[in-house]
Amino acid sequence: MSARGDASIADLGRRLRARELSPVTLVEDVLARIEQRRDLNAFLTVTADLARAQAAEAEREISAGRYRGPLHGIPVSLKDLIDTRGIRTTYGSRIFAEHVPDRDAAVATRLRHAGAVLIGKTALHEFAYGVTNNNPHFGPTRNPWALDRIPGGSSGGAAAAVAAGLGAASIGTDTGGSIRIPAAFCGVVGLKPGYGRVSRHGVFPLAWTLDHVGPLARTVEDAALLLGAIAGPDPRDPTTLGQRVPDFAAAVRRPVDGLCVGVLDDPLHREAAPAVRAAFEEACEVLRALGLRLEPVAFPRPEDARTAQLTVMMPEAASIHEPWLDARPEDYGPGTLALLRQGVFITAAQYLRAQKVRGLIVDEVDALLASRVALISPTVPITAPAIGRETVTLGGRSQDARGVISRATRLINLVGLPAISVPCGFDGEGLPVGLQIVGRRLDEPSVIAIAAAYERATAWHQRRPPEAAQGTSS
Amino acid sequence: MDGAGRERPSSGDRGDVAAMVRIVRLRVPEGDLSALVAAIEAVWAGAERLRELPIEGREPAFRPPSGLSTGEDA
Repeated sequence: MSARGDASIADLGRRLRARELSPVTLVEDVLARIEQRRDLNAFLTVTADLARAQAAEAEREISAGRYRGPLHGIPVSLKDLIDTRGIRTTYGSRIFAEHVPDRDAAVATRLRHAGAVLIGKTALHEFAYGVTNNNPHFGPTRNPWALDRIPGGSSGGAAAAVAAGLGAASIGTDTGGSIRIPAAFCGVVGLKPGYGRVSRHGVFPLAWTLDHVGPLARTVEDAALLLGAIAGPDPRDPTTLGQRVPDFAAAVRRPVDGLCVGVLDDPLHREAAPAVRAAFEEACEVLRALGLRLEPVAFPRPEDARTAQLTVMMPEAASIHEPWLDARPEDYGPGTLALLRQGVFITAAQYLRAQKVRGLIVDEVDALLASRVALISPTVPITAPAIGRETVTLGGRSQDARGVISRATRLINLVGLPAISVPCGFDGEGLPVGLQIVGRRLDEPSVIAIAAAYERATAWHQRRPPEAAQGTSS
Repeated sequence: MDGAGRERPSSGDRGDVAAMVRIVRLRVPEGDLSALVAAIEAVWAGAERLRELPIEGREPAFRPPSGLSTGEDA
């Protein structure tokens, strides 16, 4: 990997601003890398012409002294669930395979105003409704650490691209873990902000009351810089109103010693593959050495929270897909169609009951966080399974892979708290493990501060996947 | 039991499931429904377990709270 492909936004930004590096040169380097790594299937659309034009404009502006900020001239990608005016946006589906929006999503507009260079639209699970990125219409995305493994999903293309140096960062979405899961499986940073922090306007919904938009990047600081660019009120998404936006990048240097953190230690969170458990326990030791006070806590009613999240998500998704579900069932992949059809038959009473349970669990989790600044757990209790594998063995029994993969993340969407996944180790096959840090309501700065302190104390984020195509032996 | 002393019907009741299967057939006229019905039954069973939680008197939350942060920087 070249020095440029490997560099952080913070480093690239300094060099671009000082005119030691040309945005045009940078984008050409990234576009060449994308071509070299077509095997990953990380992109559905590469916007090479647009990227070159935006890079040239960035160069002109920077040369003229009109530097816009840390994202100016930085090559980034967007998950193909995010509308881009005049650029094909498929939502990972056959139904929208030729869809060209006439508007930009709010996050696309904000990144453009920040001077970022759009290099393409990344691959995703069909309609973001799944965690494998094994897309029946566009093919599977492959994990850069082992090409026979899934990258996780549904923002799997984004995570694979960031891990492989195909752009400095990407924007994904997260309804049950779709930023954090692929971040963990691909060894990058994934930040799901708090509910309402980032506008969802122009992002095709999976489930309105669970959807979040956020960055994937190679460092915590880069994720903070991205979040700073895309966060803030937007009248087109009322959930974003009434907030003041903190300085997320400043939180990277905030001291963390003395902070109290709950280690999720209930049966649901305790069950993890040995290598994941070992990496997590080692991460806990690092946090203790940084001066954090760790104490075991139980997430309130984790199984009920998981059930409530599903009971909310499924009918919301079915409602969103009503225009196509009966008319064009043959245009859905079988897995997505099955989930959407199940959602049709959840009763109104069941949905409303789950929403009552959400209120209960929100109150209980807020109480748990009253005396603690964050909760931590492994992001995913296993490392990336093989493409096409539907079950995994965990805790001595065969379990549905999808349920295992999203076990520790989907609970957090129900309660809308900010959460990040940072690399915290590797298993015996060289596959990454992620550490999840969950913060108080809209308190991303504390999440960023803890994650950044952990990152500074470790070197996991500096490892890079192999350049050559290869798989593992399993 | 309901207020009249009758056993409260649950969605796991075979009568409810039979009704559900008829409705599913109306919406999904083609093919074998067994996998879909089994999946719906499983989802219903989970949703029914939520009845046991202390939610009486609560209104649905609909969305997580958003707006002004509780974080010190906000």
